[in-house]
Amino acid sequence: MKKIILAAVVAAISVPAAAAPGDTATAAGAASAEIVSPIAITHDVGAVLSFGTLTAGNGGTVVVNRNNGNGSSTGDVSLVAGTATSADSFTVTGDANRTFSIATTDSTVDDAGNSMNFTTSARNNGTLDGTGSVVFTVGGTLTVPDSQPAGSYTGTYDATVTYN
Amino acid sequence: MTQSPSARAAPGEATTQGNASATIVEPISVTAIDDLNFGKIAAAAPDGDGSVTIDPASNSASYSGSAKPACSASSCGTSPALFAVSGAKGRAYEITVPQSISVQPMRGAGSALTVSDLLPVSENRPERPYIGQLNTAGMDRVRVGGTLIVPGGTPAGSYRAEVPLVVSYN
Repeated sequence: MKKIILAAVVAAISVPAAAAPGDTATAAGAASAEIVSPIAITHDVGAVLSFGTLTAGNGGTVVVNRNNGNGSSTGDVSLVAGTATSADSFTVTGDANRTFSIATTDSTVDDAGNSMNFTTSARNNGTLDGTGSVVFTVGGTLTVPDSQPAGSYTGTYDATVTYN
Repeated sequence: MTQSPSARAAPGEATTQGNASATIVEPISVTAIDDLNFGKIAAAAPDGDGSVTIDPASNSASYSGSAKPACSASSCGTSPALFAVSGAKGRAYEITVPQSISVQPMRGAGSALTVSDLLPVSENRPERPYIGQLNTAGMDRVRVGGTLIVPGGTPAGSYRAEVPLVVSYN
């Protein structure tokens, strides 16, 4: 009985080896993939889209220039002399020399239940430099309602970058 | 590189939050309460020019030259101008007054007199002329003193002037 079982095992192993010759052919194909660094965005520490210190009066707007952070007011809004306005700032990292699009949302600044709307302004596209990094800045327009209460208003908005 | 694809669902896109801020302050305003009053003055012609100076900090009047108080020294009715300022709590502001003003005769045949060295002093920040400080209630008071030049022989009369005062946030 033991001898019969051993013979069966040997037969099973020999089957695939006998089938191969003459029935298959292999050629090398080509495959390619380009791996790019994922794009990432970081809000620069300390940067803020600041509309400065102002008196509301009968209302109006404050516009902050995205390129230099300078502020100006319209309507009855008055920026207090010497007030500092500023543009916000982000650093984008990713694949060197790649272009990307920039989208920033509108939002509100709030204080103690009071709110004001603002829109944001950034350039539409950016290009990562040779080291895969670039900074872009964000300006905006704050709409100040008539007789808006005094307060220290803060808020956030979203900035999204996407590879083109 | 190797963990990036699994760490990000969409490696071609990234989003973060930016910050925005704005500060609204109460508008600053000023109201005149008391006039700058040099009281009654006697100007003796032979004695040459004189002057009366009101010190805004102490409210006291001092006389020089031919100008003498024409009243009891304790109550000549002299006073610095007084203004009430209101605005944003705790904020400092700048006070602007003319260097000098012309005082016109209301009665009598006199010619205009000059008040020079107008000096505004804030109640909340007396150590810094020309700078005021609103308190925690957003209030301050400003006194303005000055020096009235009284030429010798100035005719008797009543003289009056307005002291314009401008306050602005700085």
